[in-house]
Amino acid sequence: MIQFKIAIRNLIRHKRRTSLTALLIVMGVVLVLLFTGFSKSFKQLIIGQITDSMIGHLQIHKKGYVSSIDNLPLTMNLMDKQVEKIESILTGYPEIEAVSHRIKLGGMLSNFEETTNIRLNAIFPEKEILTCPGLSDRLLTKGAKFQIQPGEIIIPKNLARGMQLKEESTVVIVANNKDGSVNGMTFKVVGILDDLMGPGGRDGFMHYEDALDLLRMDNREVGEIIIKLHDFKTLESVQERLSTEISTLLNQKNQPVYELHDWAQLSPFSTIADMVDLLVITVKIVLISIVLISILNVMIMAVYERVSEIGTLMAMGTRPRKILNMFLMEGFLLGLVSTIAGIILSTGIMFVLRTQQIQFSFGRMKNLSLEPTVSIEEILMVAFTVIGISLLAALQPAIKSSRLEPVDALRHV
Amino acid sequence: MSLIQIEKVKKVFSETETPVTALDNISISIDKGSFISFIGPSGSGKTTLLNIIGALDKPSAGRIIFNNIELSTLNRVAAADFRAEHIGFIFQNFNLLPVLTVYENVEYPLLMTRNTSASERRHLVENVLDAVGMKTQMGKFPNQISGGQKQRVAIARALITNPELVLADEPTANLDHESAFKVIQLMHEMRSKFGTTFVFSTHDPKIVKEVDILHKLEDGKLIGTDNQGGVAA
Repeated sequence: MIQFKIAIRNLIRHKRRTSLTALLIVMGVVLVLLFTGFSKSFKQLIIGQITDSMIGHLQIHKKGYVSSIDNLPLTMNLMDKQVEKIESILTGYPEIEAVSHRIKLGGMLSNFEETTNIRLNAIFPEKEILTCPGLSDRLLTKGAKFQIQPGEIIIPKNLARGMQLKEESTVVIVANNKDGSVNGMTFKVVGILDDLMGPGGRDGFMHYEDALDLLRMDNREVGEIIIKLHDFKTLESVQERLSTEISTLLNQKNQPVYELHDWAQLSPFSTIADMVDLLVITVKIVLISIVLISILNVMIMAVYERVSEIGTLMAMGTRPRKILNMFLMEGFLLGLVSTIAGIILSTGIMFVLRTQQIQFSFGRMKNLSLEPTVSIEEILMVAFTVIGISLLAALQPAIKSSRLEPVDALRHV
Repeated sequence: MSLIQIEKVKKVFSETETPVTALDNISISIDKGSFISFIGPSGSGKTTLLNIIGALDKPSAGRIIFNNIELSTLNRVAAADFRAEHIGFIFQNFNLLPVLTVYENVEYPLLMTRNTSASERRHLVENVLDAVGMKTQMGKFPNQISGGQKQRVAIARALITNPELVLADEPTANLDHESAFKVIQLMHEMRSKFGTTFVFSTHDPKIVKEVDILHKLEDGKLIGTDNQGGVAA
C-alpha cells in the first residue's frame, strides 16, 4: 500500500512531465480507437452496399463458372435438377434470409440509332429484391421501387447517358443463344441504375421469363444463386458448412458440381478492406511504440532522479522486490489512467460524430454516412495492450532500480 | 556486553586503476547501549565502516558479528530484513522521502518490519514524534520544515522500530549550532529512554565531547581509542 502511495505521489510530483506523457498516450489511444471505429464503420458500410446492391453474401455457381465469368458462359449454367438440389440443401440453413436466381448474359443494346454491348442479369424481381434490397436505392428516380415485368428492362446509368435513353424509351436487345444462333427482343426501359463499384456494378436487369425467350431456353437454367443471410456475422460458419456439404455432390466424372464463393472472393473491395485492416494494425504498432518509448523515458528519468531515495528505502530495509514493484506500479498507473482517459475521450468523440452523421462519397457511392463504433472487445484489447506495454516499458528501469547496491545508491548525488 | 564484533575488517575499492584501501585491519568491539563515535579526516574510512556495520556494504576481508549474525554472509534480501529489524539510520542530508509526510516517513520502517495494525502504528509513530518534539508537524511534508526539524524526524524514523543500533553519519553536519546541540541532546535522551546503541561518524567537536568512546581513524586505520567515560546506558 505504501508503495502504491509513493508511486502515485511521485507521478504527481512531476506534474508537467506526467501530464505530457499521459497526453501522448491518451492521444495514441484516441487515434487507435477512432481509426478502428471509422475503419470498421467504413468497411461495414461499403460491404453492406456491395452485398445488398449486387453480390449478396454468398453465391453458388457451377464449378468453373466464376473463373470464366467475364465470358458470361451460358454453357456453364446450372440445370433445373441441379438448382432443385441446391434449393433443398439451402432449406436446412435457418441463417439464410433469402435466395435468388440469375442468368447472366451478354448482348447488344440498340436504341435504333446506335448499338453497344450490355451485360444483363435475368432475374425474378420479387426474389432479387429480397437478396439485394439495396437495388431500389440505386435507381436514379428517387423513391422508385426495383420492379420489372416481362418486356421491361433496367439499364445502367453509363449506357443510358451514352445512348441517350430515359425511362419509357424502347430498346432492342440482341443476344447469342447457347447454340450460337442470335435472337432479339424489344424492351421498355423502366429504370436507370446508378453505378456501383465491383462486379455487376454496371449491369442491366431484365425479367427471367424474357431471358428464357431471348435465349430460347426450354427449361429452367441458372447462372448464379445469390444468398443473403439474416446476420452477416454467421457468414463464416454458413460458408464453411455449406461448402463442405456441396463439395460432396459430384458429377459422373467424380468431380464437384458446384462452387461456393463469399462476397470477398467476388469483390475487389475485399483487397481494400484488407488494406484498411493493415492500416489499423499499423496505427496500433504506432500506439505501442508511443507508449513504450514515452513510459520508458519517464521511468528511466524517474529512477535516475531518485537513486538516493532508493538508497534510503533500501537502508530502511525495503526488499529489492518492493522497489521493483514501486516502479512497475508507476508505469502501470500512468498507462491505466491514460488509457481510461483515452477511452472516455474517444467514445465521447465517436458519440458526437454519430449524432452529426458524417456524409462522404466513395467512388461512385454518394452520401454514405459513417457511424463510427468500437466493440467492447476492441476497447479491452487496446486497454490491455497499452497497460501491458506500460508495464513492459517500466520493467527495465524497475529492475535496474531494484538491483542498485544500497551503498552506491546512497552515495549518488 | 558486546553487540558488535568487528574483526580484522578490510575494505578495498578496486573500481579505480589504483585500488584504494578504505579500511585496513580494523578490530573493534561495540557494547550494547554505548554512545560511540568514529572521528577522522575526510577519506579516513568513517562512512565506509558505518556502511559495513549497517549491512549496506560488505568488507573485502574480515568479519562483522552482530548478535551472533555474521553480516557478510547475508544476501541482499536477508541484509534488507536485517537492516529493517536491527538498524536505524540517520544521514547527514536527513534523507527523508519528499513525497511522504513527516508521519508517513516515520511510519515507513514499521511497514517494512512488523505486521502491526494501523491503530498500533499510529500510537507508536505519535509517541516517537512526541518524544522528538515533532508531533505537531506530522502532517507536513519535508520541504515544509527546517533542517533541524528534518533531523529530528530522521531520528524518530531511526528509532521507530526500536532498533538495537542507530548509525548516524555526520548527523549534525548540515545543522546550525543550536539545532546540532538539540539533536545531540535528543539522541542522548533516546539512548537513555530506549537503551539504543548509537554509533556516529563525525567531525563535530560537539558530538566528540558527548560520546563515551572515541575511535580515531586515519587512512583506513584505527590509530587510537579514547574512552571518555561519558554517560553510561
